[in-house]
Amino acid sequence: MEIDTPSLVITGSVRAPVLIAGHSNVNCFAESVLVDARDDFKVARSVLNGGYWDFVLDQSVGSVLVFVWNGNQFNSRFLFRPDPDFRLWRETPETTPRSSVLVPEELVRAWVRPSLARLRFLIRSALEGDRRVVILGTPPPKSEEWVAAALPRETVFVEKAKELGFVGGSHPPISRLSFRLALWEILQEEMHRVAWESGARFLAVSEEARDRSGALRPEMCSLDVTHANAQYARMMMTKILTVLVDEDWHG
Amino acid sequence: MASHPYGKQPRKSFWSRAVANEWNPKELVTSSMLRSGDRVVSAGSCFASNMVPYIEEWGLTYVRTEEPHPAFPEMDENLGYRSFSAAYGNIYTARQLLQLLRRATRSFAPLVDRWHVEEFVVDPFRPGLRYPARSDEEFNFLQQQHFDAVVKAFQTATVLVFTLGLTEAWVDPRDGSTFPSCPGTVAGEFDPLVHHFANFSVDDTVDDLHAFIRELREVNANVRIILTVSPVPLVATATDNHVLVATTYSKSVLRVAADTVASAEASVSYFPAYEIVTGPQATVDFFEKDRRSVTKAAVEVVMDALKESSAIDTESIDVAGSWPRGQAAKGVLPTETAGLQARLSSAVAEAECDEALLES
Repeated sequence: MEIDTPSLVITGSVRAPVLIAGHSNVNCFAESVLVDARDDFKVARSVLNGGYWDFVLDQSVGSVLVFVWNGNQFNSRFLFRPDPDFRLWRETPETTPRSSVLVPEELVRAWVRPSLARLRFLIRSALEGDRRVVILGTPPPKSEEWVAAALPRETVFVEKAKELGFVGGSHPPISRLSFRLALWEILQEEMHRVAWESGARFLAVSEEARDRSGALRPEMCSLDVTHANAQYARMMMTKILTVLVDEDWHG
Repeated sequence: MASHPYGKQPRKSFWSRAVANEWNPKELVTSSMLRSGDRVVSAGSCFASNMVPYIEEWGLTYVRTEEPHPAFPEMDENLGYRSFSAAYGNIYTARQLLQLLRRATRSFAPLVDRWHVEEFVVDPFRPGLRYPARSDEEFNFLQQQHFDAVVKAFQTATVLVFTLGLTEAWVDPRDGSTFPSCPGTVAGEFDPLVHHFANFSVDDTVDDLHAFIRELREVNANVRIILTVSPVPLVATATDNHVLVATTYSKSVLRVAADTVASAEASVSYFPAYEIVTGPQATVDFFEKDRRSVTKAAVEVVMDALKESSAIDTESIDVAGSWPRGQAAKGVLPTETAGLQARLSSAVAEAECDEALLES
């Protein structure tokens, strides 16, 4: 069987001191590098290419390697409200249906940890060479309104809705924001743990990326269900640069 | 020939006719156990979990009020917390059962109801839970949910099957809190000042069972109760006796207590699983090579006897969806573990009983 492998591409100057690499959330960074013609960042895309991580390690020798790791683990299973519903204790009580089952947070953490196992391995590989390694937080969830409006454009979720018996553009109820925020926070904490245990630096998403409800601000949303846009990328790149001049950056 | 009381006894009263010859375990049961339409709740030692798939196969309802959430089908649970009606795990002693009910109904609040272990908050009465709380607040929420599930199970049942397993236990002498396992074996730390050994007597066990039944009837007036004694020997004893001597003592106490309570209480029966598996008539293949683990062959005979002694309509049973036999209480380690989970090693996950961890 022939597999159409995406070719490996660096967006930006190959001499840029910071390489951003990872899954689909790197796309907004590539867009910003292109639009703003930046020479301080480069972005490696095409994570689906089998040689991607070898390529990334090769391209990041002597520079800063920023991992943007997945971020959609929970969306793939819990963008639609689970049936039966469940809740996590850290959700704000006023938005949480008390009738739903409380699931231990540790169960959710244990579920997500395998998705970070390869990240842990890659950090170790990166740190064995001459690189500084940063794990970047991933974009927070979007509001229910935004998700509902963007859903018809998302083939993956439209198909998933069909599998669940929803046709003609209808879809299951979208999970409440407080639930998705709790899942997102857990993911960020687990990535922070991986970074800390591996000797890398974790950079959390800036508070300015979030609105009063905690969701990704509309002006930082891409048009789809989950990803951020170039404005978000600019903000996070500013944060990365701030950290790089911090002498105690490993702290 | 002089007449005497034995002359009027039926065939089953004579060893030569009922055991040495024409052995039929179904004759051991003297009253009807389960009925069509029953909603069964069970609790007890590891052996008790064996009955669950059979109950469902017979078309009865096995009450489950607290199960792992189906959104995480790949995430398993440890040590039988998914083997019973609610996630209380193995309940070895009558005292533990009584305290479970009292804790769930808030008539007993242990002096120490949690252990802080690394970043986790561990339930001393369910120490092997694979996914413990990570904060006191979360612990409170999860514990309340567990207690609600326990009460709901007890309220829903038409029949409760309790398998008595042990007389030996570890207790906190300050308030009598009784643990399912010795602190320090599954989780927590053993402290000789607050963790004392107890070996419950017949009177202790009878009193605890009477108290449990009395208080259970306050939440479910009509529930029937079936008592059994686990045929599984002790893994280890904390007495000075040989483990075989300790086992004989323990099982004897439990057997007498079960009979005493069944004779005294209305709607309480004794089911002789212990006799079927351990009696001299039992074949060598009723125990594994370790002469402790009960084999599937033995369980089949026990469950056949239970079925035969029950008034169940098995004509229109759809067995699809029932639990596969032999799967009860098995755990599977996730691909990656951390912290406390790492210490709850594969030995923990694979053990059907937290009691088995006394050897680790």
